[in-house]
Amino acid sequence: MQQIINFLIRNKTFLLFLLLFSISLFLTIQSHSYHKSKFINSANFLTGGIYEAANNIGDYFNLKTENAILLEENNRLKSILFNTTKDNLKEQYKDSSLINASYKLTAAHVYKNSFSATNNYLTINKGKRDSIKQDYGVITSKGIVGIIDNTSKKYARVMSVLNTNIRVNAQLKKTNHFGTLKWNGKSPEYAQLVDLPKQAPVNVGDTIITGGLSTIFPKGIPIGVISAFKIDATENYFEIDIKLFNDMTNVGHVYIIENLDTEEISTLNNLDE
Amino acid sequence: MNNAITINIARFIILILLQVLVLNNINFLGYINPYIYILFIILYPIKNNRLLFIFLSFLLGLTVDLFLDSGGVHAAACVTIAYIRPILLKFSFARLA
Repeated sequence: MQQIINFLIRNKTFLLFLLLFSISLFLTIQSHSYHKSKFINSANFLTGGIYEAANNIGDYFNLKTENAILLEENNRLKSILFNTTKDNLKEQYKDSSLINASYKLTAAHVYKNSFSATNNYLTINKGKRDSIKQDYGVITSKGIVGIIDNTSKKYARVMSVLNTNIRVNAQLKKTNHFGTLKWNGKSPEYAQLVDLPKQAPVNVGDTIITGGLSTIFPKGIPIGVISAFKIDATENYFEIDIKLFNDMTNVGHVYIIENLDTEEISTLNNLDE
Repeated sequence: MNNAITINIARFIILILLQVLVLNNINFLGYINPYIYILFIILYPIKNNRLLFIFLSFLLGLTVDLFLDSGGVHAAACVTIAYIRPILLKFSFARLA
């Protein structure tokens, strides 16, 4: 017993080093799997608060570009609104309550964005307090941004499409052939679409949108256009490079999508298990 | 003594803020960032409690990890640097250490 205690005292520095090193190694490994990095993430009051303070200053420098983006979006929405016939409109808005709505949108502000690592995350200013939960989709007016992966009281962390762990169901705009959207960690301008069957009519310049198969994103949110494609090693599927519509290095305002039917769909899917 | 503690606390906070708010946005050639916060470990007083020093370095790395969403990579690196610092110092400046 005496010897064990002596050993501990003699090597206390090394043992402390070993302990702290294994803790950080554990945290590192944990951060590589989706939904597991609970403790160490930028969605907490300390980091969120500091990023918020910095953002309050930095915001003014981006006002001009943000205004241009909002104006463009308004323009697009207005043109849809004016080109819809009155009868159509009445049918859509005949009930003022939102009983039939299956998606709820929340606007949020990006406090921190990264795009140079292999696993990138964004921090936004909406959290549990605004009933934001894990697995909600995040988009901008141009296309998808990512998926909520951790929330705190006031902030949430978004797993960016520029994250090697992300998987999003995506499809061609002109047909219903679908595949999986991934990122290979190389360029922040391009994402990859894999597992798209060989039968699909693929051309450079075709638009890729989100598919309706996942409960996270509604069908039809733009992702990007095909810039290059090839057949993969199994010779049954395409491997496609997609140029993203969104400039992921410059994201200011985002919308969070909540699918109100998620629970119903997942209970239905779990029936036979 | 008291003065040294204050200076180190201030250095800890200032270096982290500088690192997180300024230097991480440089992205030279797309992804290269200078990591200046290590300066805290380099400038820490030599004749001091080693256990505390290693723990503070861990805290430093963990705080940077918090901001960068990098899990525990920075913490692991900082702890290692703090552990081998006296060995390196003895190796290069044997008489002073």
